[in-house]
Amino acid sequence: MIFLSPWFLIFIAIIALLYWTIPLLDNWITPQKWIKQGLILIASCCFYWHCGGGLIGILPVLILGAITYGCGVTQQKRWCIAGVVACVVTLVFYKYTLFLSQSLVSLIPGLNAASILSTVIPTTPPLGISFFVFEFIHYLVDVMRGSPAIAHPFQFAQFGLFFPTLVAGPIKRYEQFVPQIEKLSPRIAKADILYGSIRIAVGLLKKIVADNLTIYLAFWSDHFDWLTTEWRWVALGFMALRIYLDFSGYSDMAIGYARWFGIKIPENFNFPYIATNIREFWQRWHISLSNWIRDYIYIPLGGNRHGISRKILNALIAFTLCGLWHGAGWNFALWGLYHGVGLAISSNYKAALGGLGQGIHAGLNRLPLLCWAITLLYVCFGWLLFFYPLPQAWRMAQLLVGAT
Amino acid sequence: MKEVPPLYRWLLDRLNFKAFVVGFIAVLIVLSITGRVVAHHNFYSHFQRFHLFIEAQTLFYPTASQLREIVKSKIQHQKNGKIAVIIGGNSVFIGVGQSEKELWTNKLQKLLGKKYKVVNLAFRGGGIQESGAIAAQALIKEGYKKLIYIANTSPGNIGNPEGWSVYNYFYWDALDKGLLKPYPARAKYIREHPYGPTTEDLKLRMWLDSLFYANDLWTTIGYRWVFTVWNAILINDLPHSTWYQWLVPRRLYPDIDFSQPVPLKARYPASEEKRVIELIDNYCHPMFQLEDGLWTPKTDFWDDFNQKVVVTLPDNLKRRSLIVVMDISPHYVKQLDSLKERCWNRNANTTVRTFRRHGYHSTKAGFNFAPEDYLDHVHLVSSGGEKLAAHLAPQIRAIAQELGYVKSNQKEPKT
Repeated sequence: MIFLSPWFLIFIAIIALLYWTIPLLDNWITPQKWIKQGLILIASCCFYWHCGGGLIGILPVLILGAITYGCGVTQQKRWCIAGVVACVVTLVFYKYTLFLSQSLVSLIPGLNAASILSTVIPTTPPLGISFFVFEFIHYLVDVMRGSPAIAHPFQFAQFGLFFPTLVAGPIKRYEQFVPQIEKLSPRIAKADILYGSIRIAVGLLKKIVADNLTIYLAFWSDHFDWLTTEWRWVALGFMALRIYLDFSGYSDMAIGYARWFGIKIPENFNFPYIATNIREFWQRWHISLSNWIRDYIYIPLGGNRHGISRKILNALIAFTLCGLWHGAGWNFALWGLYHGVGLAISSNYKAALGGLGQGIHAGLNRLPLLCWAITLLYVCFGWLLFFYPLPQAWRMAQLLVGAT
Repeated sequence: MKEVPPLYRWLLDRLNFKAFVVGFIAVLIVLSITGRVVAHHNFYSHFQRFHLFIEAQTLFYPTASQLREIVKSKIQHQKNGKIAVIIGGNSVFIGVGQSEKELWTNKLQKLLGKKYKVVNLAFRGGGIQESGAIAAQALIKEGYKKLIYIANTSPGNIGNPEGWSVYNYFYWDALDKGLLKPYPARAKYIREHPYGPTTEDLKLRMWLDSLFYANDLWTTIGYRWVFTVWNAILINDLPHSTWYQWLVPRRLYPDIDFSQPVPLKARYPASEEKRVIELIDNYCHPMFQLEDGLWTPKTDFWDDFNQKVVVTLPDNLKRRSLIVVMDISPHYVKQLDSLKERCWNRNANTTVRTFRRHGYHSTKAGFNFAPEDYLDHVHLVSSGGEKLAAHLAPQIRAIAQELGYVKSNQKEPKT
């Protein structure tokens, strides 16, 4: 994990101390805002250079960023669409071409798809590509819809390369980010440093627990049948806990490090496992992603504006793409579809089942604990699809319900 | 402060910035000082060897300082007292195949007598340049010069001067904490032959640790009070383990290695035959080529080997070292055709000669052992350990005399 690497610890200590020292040199350095912005940008470039694999790693993001900025600054619809297409093509090329090609080639018997294709198609996508492509697409679509474009290329670079969120989000919105960069406080914001430090400490604690759970699950998932039924359910609970702590811990640290520089980035988790239905779960889980999916896939597809059938179809497409975004694998697509189905059922059963649906709805309203349990169960079983290939996930599900 | 979740709002309302900063720095300083203090004490009670539960396989990583302190406590911190016989090397020398009571180093201790103190610092997968060698160098730097270092290797095998991938952290740990005397030749070789990209991360980590001594503090806490990293071996290898076993301090874990004897039939399964024969083949072909029915050394390989032998240990440790080139079990040797057997023997002899040429003491061992002396193709059981101890004891005494630790007219202890 990059935030826990010794290089990053030294890096952030130096950058943060330099940043906090700038206001102390008020009499000698003006304007401080430019120096602070410059420091953040240089730090982000250094971060990406070191963690992203040097020039080869940073070039794709620089080129795509330049294209996005260039298309956005025209504020013309056709150029914005061209920019979106370039972003999507880049993401698909780096992240999904090998996977899709392997899936196709594997249909030809006798061919070793992996070894043939890995010599011609990139096997490692650029660092954070899933995140910065989504941020670029959001930027272009919002500009196309009438929001003002980012005028200065350095501000766009800061938005695109901001190192705390580069690797694993949260997915920023430029309308909230850029004004903060423009108005960086001239003083050391003690409250920001304190709050940031607390978030980093909380994130660190979560990561420590998550890493332990990862070791535990790495062993027991291969020996799931050795466990008693009770301990299999405990392992399932650990799976849910582990991904939450891992991901939210990382988000906590990202939010904390951003706060050290006086920048607020969106919250990404809000106690998702207390949700009482799938819709609420996705309003609490990876909030920045689910908002992005809603705003840039679900609503453009038509949302709920064209009847129940189309609404369900749009949700299924959106969630399947959401699943695929997490990883280049059919199990991820299946996981996304699984949540799409869950959302479709929980959002539409009342209308679809008529009187019976109304009755069920009324009953469930009186039993929030039951709603919570069903939702949690549904989400936990979904994690089997997320983490394991379908045959293994199916086998584990069978073992959970006591099948031998 | 807007946009702060309620839980954090509650905390922020009660925290003072100055108090937080002062507290953070104070805690950092206190923990670092504590780490430095514990690095100079030996906390390994009744230490015999680094058994399974106090080594890397169970995510427990002893530090270079701790290795040094173990030896110092065994020789009661007396620089001119007992002769420390520090054992390094890999699973063969740690005594895989022997229970704690049968350990070959205990037998060696009995043979050598009270003037010597044998300390087993070998690790599974360890190299001659790791663990024991690091401890020996640290002790020499502190003025503990009455020591002999013994480690095992296989023919033609030495590894990089800083060590193999699991335990090379000992070298960087010791280097950054100033436990090693400068050895420019080794440093130059390591600079010019970096082990891999992960070494840079390791070097940074060890440098940071040399400032804060976090590893020393953490392993002390983990050994004495509580350990918080789960590990599957704790479940599988410990009978009657509980769900909270992983929290138990490591000092409470027994040395369960091979507490039950393995029957002879089970030691040489048919499924292993092909793999071991291929292993022996792999020892030969990178190193020797067949010309007119004779095995001749490949220049590239042995030039590199020579270079590594020169730089791996500093001269003041080389002359105190005995590198033991171990044979494999005769159960497998007799299955080799005469050509491969000659290659294997040639390899062992060349390895010994190369070490000797560069100032080490070196010997072969195991070449006259029986199949019953082995647990598998390389590891020894109790009888093999006894033979190993008997083979090495006189050589250790000879080295001690040569180095002036003992007078040449002193009698050998009765066994």
